[in-house]
Formats: sequence, structure tokens, C-alpha cells
Amino acid sequence: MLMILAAMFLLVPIVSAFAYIDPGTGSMIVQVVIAALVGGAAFIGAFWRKLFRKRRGQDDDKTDTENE
Amino acid sequence: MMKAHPSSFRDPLGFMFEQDGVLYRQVNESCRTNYEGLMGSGLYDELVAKQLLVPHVEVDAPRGGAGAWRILKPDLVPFISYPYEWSFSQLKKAALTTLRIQRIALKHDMSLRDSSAFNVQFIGARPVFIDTLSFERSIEGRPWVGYRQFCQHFLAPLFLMAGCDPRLSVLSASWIDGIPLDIVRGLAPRRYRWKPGFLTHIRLHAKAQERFQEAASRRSTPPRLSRASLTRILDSLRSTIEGLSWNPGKTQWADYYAKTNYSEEAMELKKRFVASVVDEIRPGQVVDLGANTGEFSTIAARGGAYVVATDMDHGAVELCFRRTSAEKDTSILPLVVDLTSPTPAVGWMNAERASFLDRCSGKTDLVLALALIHHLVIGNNVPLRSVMELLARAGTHAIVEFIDKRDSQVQRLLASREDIFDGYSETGFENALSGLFRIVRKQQIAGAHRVMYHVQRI
Repeated sequence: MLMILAAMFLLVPIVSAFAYIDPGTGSMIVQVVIAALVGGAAFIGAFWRKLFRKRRGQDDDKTDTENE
Repeated sequence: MMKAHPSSFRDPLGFMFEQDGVLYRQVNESCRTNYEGLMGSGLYDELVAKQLLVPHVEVDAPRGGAGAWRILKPDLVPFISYPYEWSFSQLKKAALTTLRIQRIALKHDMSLRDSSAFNVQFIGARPVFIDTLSFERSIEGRPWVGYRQFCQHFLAPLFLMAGCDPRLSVLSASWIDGIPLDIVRGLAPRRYRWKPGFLTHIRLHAKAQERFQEAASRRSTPPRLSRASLTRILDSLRSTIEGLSWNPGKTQWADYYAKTNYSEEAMELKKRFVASVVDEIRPGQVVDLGANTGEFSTIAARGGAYVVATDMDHGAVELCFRRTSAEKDTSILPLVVDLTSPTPAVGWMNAERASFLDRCSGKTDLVLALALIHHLVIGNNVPLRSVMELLARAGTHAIVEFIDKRDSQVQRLLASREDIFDGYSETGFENALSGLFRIVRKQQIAGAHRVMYHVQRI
């Protein structure tokens, strides 16, 4: 599976970001891949729940009320 | 005289400096946009109102150096501590605080441009962000520049502490820009391998770092990451961290009080002794060495002091932090410190992050050394005189409990070794004070082979 994910990197162009710390090229690119994976998982999860009519309140836009 | 702070040299947009004993932060002209964004967007007000960021005031003088645009005088954190001195829950709380700050920043179209664990400090059990200049205007579509640091400073040690051993927090002292992800990938237990958080933020991330290590010089369009995607990553990091836990269970020290050999009455005497000294000298800062879960620290804190409660045992510190955290305490800071090798000075020029003793010296009014020195002398072969030198270096007053050889705890330490400690006696202890401390008060604890001393540095 890691190989497949690694192959996804090839689809992402190289980054040049300006920051006083080195954000790390790989660390910038991997975020695009992770966002896609997490988004995909969320989509499948939502689809799955819909399929089984197990809908529950989804807090997509969680505010920062935790720890308060 | 202006003196730049030894940890504040990396950022070209500003730095900390000290003038006449007061700490200031210079904001350079080049940081104007960021700073105006922080102050003008409502982010500063929201973070300060939620007690997530140290407040500051703008002052006219002095200037710290060339390029100055504003000089800030921030509120000070009572005692600076470092991630490698935190227990598991402290690091976890600091990590979640950083993510929360980033979420709030994004709401104001700002973003953290770094996410070093050193930017979080604790006031008692309350985490607070101290780097006012860490915020920049967020650029739509750009991935988070602080992501690498976040994973290496927070996620990596948390995985190791939860999955292997909390004592691995010391790795953060060797790699002060965060633990390399390939190390974590190699050390973490197998059960983490396919957990989504570990698979993505550690394994895949490490792979990407390796894959693109050589490619950094090639330039092309930056990858785009929508705000929604960035938020998903922050949520994923948060749920990963929230899912990590560590329980002290039965550690050597966490149930120490249950195993002590003296009566409730003797314990009460000891508490009264500490309370009366605190009442008498009204210390501002107390350092409790070998604090265990902070029972005596609490007495000092009740007397109005800010207490740094140190212990070498992660379990004891964890329990202390859980309690103070539940009570929302802001006067006791529990830290993991091994006195036989206190936190060293690390980083650039060995000055970037100060040693534990340097952070204590000059600021500590009272040191507590209760049921401690027999462990150092008999358990670790440190001469009594040297123990007293340590206490004298740490603070101006000390409360020391001397436990003689007849005590069963000392007997236990001596059981497996030859008794080479001829000078370990009440007289020997008092001799060891000479030239360093004078005895203010001395009290025998009835029913125990223990004597309490209040001593003052000469």
C-alpha cells in the first residue's frame, strides 16, 4: 500500500515555499496526499453511514470549544 | 546593557532581548505585515481572552538592534520548562493547544509559521503560547509550513511515549528540532503500523521526506491545499493525538506515600513544619526536589508560592499533572527532572535551552528536599557536602529532611550493598552545612528517625 501512496507523490509538483524554518519539501507535498486520503476516508465513511442509515450529527466544522 | 536572548536568533523577523533585567521582544520592520495581521484581525484579542497567548504591551524604548519597528514587553511565564521535562499528558496538552491555536488563527486568515514545542509553556497546569511573532497571514492554497515541525516536535515523541516508554521524552533533548520521523517509524511498536494517524503522519510523511530530500532545489508550482483540506489535516492530527494515552500504573514512586514507614502523625508534623516555614518566609518561587505527586508542593502553593515540583519518575509527575490539570491549578508546575543528572543546557552554543539548575538559581526562594537526600547519598554515592552545594546553588532557603540509618527506607537502600557511608549521620549532615547554610530551625519528627531542618544560605 505504501508503494501505491508513494506513487501518488509523482503526481504532485515540487514545492517552493518561503518560510524562515525549512518546511521540508516532502512535508509540504505529503499534506496534499494525506488530505486526499483523509477526505476519501471521510467520504467513504459518510457513504457507508448513509447506506446503513446510521446518520449522526457530523461536526465537519468543529469550533474550538474543546479543552475549555 | 542589551543582551539578546540565547534562544532567539533563528527568526529574521524579530528577537527577544534583555535590558536591565527586563525581557523585551523586538518586532522588525520585516514583520510589520504579520504583526499587524495578528493585532488587527482580532486573533490576538481572541487568543489572549482564551488565555492561549501571553499578553504584551507595546513600549517606546529600548531598541534591541537594527531594523526595529516595535518593541513589546510580554508578560512573563514564571518558570521556563522544556518538552523533555514534561510528562506524557503535558506534551499531549501542549500539542492539542498548538492545534487549537492554529484552528483559531485560520479563522482569522492567519496561520502559525512554525510549531515548535518550545513555543508552548506552562503556567502551572495551563499551557500558553509564548511566541507572538509566530503568526503570519495565511496564504490561500498553501500547505501548512509548520506541519513538519508539528509532527517531529509533538506527534513523534507522543507516539514513542505512548507506544514504547514515556522516558523516551529525553530524545527531544538530543534532537531539539524534533525527533526524526524515520527514528519513530523504526522504534514504534508494530501495532501502530496500520493505524491511520501513524500510517499517514509518520510513515508516509517519513517516506515523503526521504523521497524529496534531494529534490528541494528543483522549483515548480507549489502544491495547492484548500482551506478545507488543511482543516482536515488539523482534525486528523487532533484525533490521532486524542487517541494516544499512557497510564502510569504501578511505578516505583507513584505509590510511594502508601509505602512510607511513618505514622499519619509524623506526616502531619512534617506538613506543619513546611507550612510554618512557608508562612514565615513567604517565598515567591519554590522548587520541590523529589516532589513525587506534589503533596508538599501543594502546601507551599497554598502559602502563595509558585512551585516547580520535580521528580525523576514519569508516573509521579503524570499523576501530579493530572490532578493539577483537573483542578485548573496555575501555581504548581510538575516536571520530570532526574537530580543525579539534571536537565543539561542544550542547543546552539550549549546556551539555547538553559540547564535546570541555571533556571532555578537566583530566582528560587525556597528548596524542598524531603525524603530525598538519602537517595542521593546512599543510592547514588553523592557526598553529603555535595548535596548541600546543589541545594545552595538552587535556592536561598531550604527545608531538608534528614533520615538516619536506623530508618527502614535507608535500611532498604543499604540492604544490597556495603555500608561505606560513615559520615552519614545527623552530626555529619550538620557539618556538611558549614560555610553554605545556617540552621534556622530544627525539629525531630517524633516516632521516626527523621529530623526536619530549615536552613538559610549564608
